[in-house]
Amino acid sequence: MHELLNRRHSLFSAALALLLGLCAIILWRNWPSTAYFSGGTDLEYRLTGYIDASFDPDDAAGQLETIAAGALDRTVRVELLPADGGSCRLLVTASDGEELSYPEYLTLTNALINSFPGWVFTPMSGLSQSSVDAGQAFAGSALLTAAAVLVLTLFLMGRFRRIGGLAAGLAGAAGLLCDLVAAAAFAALAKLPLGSESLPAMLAVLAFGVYDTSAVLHETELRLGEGADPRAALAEALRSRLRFLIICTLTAGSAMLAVTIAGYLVGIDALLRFSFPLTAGLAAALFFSAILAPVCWYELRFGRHLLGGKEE
Amino acid sequence: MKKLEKAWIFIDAVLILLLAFVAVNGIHLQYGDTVRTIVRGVGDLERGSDLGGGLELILEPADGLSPSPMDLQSTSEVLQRRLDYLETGGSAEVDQDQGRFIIRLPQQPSGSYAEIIQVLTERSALTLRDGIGTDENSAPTGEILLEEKDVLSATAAGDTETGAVTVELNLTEDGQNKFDSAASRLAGAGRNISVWIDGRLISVIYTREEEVLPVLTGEWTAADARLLADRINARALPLDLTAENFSLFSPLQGQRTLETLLLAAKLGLLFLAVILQALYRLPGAVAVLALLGQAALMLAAYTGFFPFLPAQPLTTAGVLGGILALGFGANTMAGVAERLKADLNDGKNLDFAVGHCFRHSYTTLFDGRMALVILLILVLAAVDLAAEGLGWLAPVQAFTNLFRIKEAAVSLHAFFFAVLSGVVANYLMCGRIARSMLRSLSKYPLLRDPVFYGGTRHA
Repeated sequence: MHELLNRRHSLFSAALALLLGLCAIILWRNWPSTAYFSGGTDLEYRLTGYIDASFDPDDAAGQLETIAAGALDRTVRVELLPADGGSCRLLVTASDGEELSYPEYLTLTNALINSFPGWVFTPMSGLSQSSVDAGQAFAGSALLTAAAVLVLTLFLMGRFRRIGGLAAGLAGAAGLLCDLVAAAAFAALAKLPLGSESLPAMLAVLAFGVYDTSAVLHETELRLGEGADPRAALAEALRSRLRFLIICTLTAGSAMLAVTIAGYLVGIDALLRFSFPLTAGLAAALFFSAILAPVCWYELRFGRHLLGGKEE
Repeated sequence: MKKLEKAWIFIDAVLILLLAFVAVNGIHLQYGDTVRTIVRGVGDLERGSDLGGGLELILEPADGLSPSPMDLQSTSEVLQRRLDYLETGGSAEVDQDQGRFIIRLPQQPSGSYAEIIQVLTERSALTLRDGIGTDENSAPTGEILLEEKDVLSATAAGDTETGAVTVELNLTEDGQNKFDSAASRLAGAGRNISVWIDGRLISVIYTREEEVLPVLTGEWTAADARLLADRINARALPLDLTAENFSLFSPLQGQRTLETLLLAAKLGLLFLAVILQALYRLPGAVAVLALLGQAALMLAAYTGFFPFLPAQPLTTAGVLGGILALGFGANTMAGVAERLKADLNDGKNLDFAVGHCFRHSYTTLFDGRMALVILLILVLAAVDLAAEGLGWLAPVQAFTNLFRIKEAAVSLHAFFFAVLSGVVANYLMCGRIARSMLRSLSKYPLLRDPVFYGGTRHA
C-alpha cells in the first residue's frame, strides 16, 4: 500500500483514464431510457399460441409492427423475444412523437388481438408518459441524486473533521460520482435502459460508496490518533480494511446477483434495471470509494498546499 | 445470568424461528366460519399495483385549458362518486399544479378497465326537454325544461306486481314547479317530456297521464336502473376529460414478478449463507441465523406486527430494498467475523475477542450506516410530503415533480422503508442477538478452539 501511495499520481491518471472510458461507453452506447424518463409509451404483452420450430420471430415482429403502425397511424417499434413455456414477450415502443393515450392503447391492443386469430395476446404491463412529465421525472431524479451526494459529502465532512473534513468530503464526493458513472456505464454496456428502478439503484450505490470510504478513513483516523504518520496510517488502513471491503462487496453483490440471475431467467427487465447497475456500482465503489477517495483525501490533505495541506 | 449464558444460543435461535414463523404465517383465530386476524402474515399483506395488478391513469381536460380550482375540486368529487358507485375500489385525486386528475384503479375482477374509463370520462349531463326531436346529427333540439341543478337525487324503484323497474327523480322546489307547469303545457299541446344524458335519449315521460310524475321508465333490469340512478346522483362532470398518461400492470405480471423476487430472495440468502459459512465457520453460522432473524424482523415491520408501525403494501421496490438490506446485514457480520479473526490471530483470548469484535464493529456500523439512515429519513420525509399532497412544502419544485405520479412515490417509499427497517433490524439482530449467540457458543468447552472462529491455534 505504501507503493500505491508513492505512485498515487499514476493512480489518479489511471482513474481519470478509466473514468473517461466509462463516460465514452455511456456516450457510445447512447444510453437509452424507458418512457418514464424519455416520454412515449412502453408496452409489454405475452404472446402464446401456434409457436413452434418454424416460427420466425423477426418475421412475426415485422408483421406485428405493420399492424400496430396501421392501427395507430404512427410509427412504433416491435420486438419479439422468446420467453418461458414456449411463449414470447412482445415489446411495443412508441417513442416517436407524443405518448399513446389510453384509448389509443385499447385500439392497439384490440388490433393486435384481432391480427392473428391463433395467437393469444395478454397485456402484461404498460407505461405511457408525456415528454413533459418525463422531463420533470428526470429532473427530479437528477436533483434527488445530487442532493444525496451533497448530504453524504456533508456527512463525511462532519464525521472526519478531525483529519481534514473538507478534504474527506471532497474526496468522498469524487469517489461517489465515479461510482455513479461506473454503474451507468455498465448499464449502458448491457443495453439496460435508464428507468424508474435506476434511481433507488443509484442511491444504494451511493450508500455503499460512502460506507467504503468511511471504513478506510475511520481506520486511518484511529491510527493517526495513535500517533502514526499519515502515510503509514492510510497505507495500514487500506491494507487492513481492503479484505473486509472486498468481502462486503462480495456479500452484497451476491444478493444482487441473485436478483440479476432470477430477473434474467424469467425475463423481468425492471429487476435487471435495478440489480445490474447496482452490482456494477458495488464493484466500482471498491476501487473509486474504497481506494481512490482515501488516496485523494491524502493528496488534498497532505500532498499539496491545498485545503491547508502540508508539503510532504 | 451467567448460568444462562450457555443457553442463550438456544433461546435466541428459538425466538428467531418463532418470529420468522409468525411474520410469515401470522396469527389467526377461527370461531366457526369467522377468522379473526391477530397478527397479519405475508398472505395478508396488501400488494402494490406492480405486484397485484392495477392501473394508474391521468385524466386531462379535453380543451387543454387550465380549469379553475373550483372546477377541479367538483370534477374530482364527481369522479370519486362514479368510482364508488362502480365499486372499483379506486381513487381520484386532483393534480392542482397541472390541472388534471390521477385515477388509481386496483385490479378489477372483470379484468377490463375500458368500461370504467368510459363511464369516468362521460359528462353525463342530464336534461329534460320538450319532445323527442333531434337534428341531423341526432342531437336533441327540444327546449330544455329542466337541468341537473333542478334534480336533488334519483332513486331506483320496482313495482313487485307489474315487475316494472323505474328511476324516480327527486326535484328541487323550483324544479318541481317547472316540471308541473311544463307537463300541463305539453299535455295540452300533445307532446311529451324527454330525458337525455349526454345527448342520448334515456326515457320519455308521457304527459297524458292523470298525474305526471318525474319518473323514468324503460326496458331495464333492476341493476340497470340502480346504475342509472347512481349515475344521476354522481352528477355531471363539469369538464370534458380525456384519458392520457397511464401506467398498467397485469396481475399475471405481478404474480410472475413476485415469484421471481421470492426466488431471488431465496437464492440471495443461499449465496450469503455459503459465502459466510465458507469464510467464517462458526461466526458464519451465527451470521446466517442472524440474517434470518433480520429478514423476519423486516417482514414483521411490513405486516404491522409492531403497533407503532402501520402495515405497508408489498411492492417490487420494497422486496428489492429488503434483499439489499440483507446484503447490509451480511456486511455487518463479515465485519464482526473479520475483527474476531484478527484478534484471535493476534493471540487474544477468545472471550475478549468475542466482546471486542462487536464493540469495534459498532463504530464502523454507525459510521457506514448513519449517513444512509440520515439520507433515508430525509428522502422518506420528502416522499411522504409529496405523496400526501403537501408537495409545496418541499423546497425545490422539480424535486416534488418526481413524485407527481404517486406510483413512483409509493415505490420509492417502499424501497426506503425496506432499507431503513433493514438497517434497524440489522442493528438488533447482527449487533445484539448475534453477539449473545456467539458469546453463548464460546462458553461450550468443545467450541472454544479458535479454529472454529477463523483463528489459528497458539501454542
